[in-house]
Amino acid sequence: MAADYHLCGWRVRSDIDLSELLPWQGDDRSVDVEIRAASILKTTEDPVFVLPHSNLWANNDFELNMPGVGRFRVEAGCRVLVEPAADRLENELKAFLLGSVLGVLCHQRGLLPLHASAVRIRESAVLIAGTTGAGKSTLAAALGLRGHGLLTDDVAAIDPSGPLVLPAYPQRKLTPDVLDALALPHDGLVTHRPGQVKYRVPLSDGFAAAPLAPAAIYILKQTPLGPFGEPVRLPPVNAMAVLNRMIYRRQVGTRIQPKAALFQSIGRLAQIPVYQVNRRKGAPLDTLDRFAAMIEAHALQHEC
Amino acid sequence: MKLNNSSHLAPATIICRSTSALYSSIGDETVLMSLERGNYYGLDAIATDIWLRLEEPVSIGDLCARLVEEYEADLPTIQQDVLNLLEQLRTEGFLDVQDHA
Repeated sequence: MAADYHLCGWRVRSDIDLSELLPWQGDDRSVDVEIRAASILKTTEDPVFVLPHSNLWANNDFELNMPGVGRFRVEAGCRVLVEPAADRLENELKAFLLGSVLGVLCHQRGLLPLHASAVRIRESAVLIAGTTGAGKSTLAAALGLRGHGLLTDDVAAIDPSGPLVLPAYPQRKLTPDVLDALALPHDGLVTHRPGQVKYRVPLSDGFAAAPLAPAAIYILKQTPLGPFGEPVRLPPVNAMAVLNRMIYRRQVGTRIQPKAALFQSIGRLAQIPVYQVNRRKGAPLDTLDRFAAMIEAHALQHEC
Repeated sequence: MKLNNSSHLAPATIICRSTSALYSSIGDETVLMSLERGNYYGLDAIATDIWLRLEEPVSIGDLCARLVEEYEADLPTIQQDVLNLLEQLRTEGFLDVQDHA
């Protein structure tokens, strides 16, 4: 049974359950993205770019083939075909739909997907970027406890023409020790992917459902010293180079989007201040609220 | 016009932005990226001013003469600074150098 959902401002119609997304409550516009369970025919043409499990064709059609999960075909930024594997877990299907597939949809639609969390501070978006494990979700959750709404936990879809950060869905991925440190319950949570030590934590309130202009970007960097340092503003060339590295599904994205277009998107985003923030790897979680308070104060004083 | 990317730059050399150079202005600075190499390169405010004057082919001598009118430095100093900058831009692939007529 198909249902209509909200994702990045798109009207998404899916016959695969995506109940972690908000239901569509916007206007009666036509569907922007359709997700259908279907068998995927073999493409006779050779792909122009191949990665493990991923193929990209000359017309920018993309296919992801995850053994034990399923096949995903993403076309023209508006159509997703899903052929679930017989032994798949529903959970895993969603992890890829709301991960790689979302990233490829963004690239096909000319958006800039960043590997970043985004929270609302006053009426601006603050982006928190960093490599996997740098603590983006953790900091976003700690800022959430301080009353700041969440736009997205893991992939920030950015409309470069604003620029605007487009809200994703009210769910986070957090590790058990972070849940404990933030005094959040574990009850009823499911692991993000089997064997992964992150839980999916729904957000009952505090989701920022409207697009917001970004005011600042904090790049989290793990260092041996800590627990954490003051944000240091990056010069433009470093800011653009680091944002370039934070592009989500970058290898495919740089082949879907013209290099010049991606460069201009990053250039527009880098008009807002980009700060590097050092945090010690494995810093005690009882310093987490102090860290979030420092970021909050910095953003409010300088940017928001 | 022949491209010559190995000879020494001199006042008579005619230079122009490479067509494979992308640039983005941030504040009064500029970030360059080479489409061919993918490398990023930052220009400060003065280098940005020079970069913006390289949209059309221009001789290094003419470029320096115009800069003397706007900056408080003598021609030899400006020429040396400009040649240093242009040499770096050429090395990074951001500049086309043409044989002078």
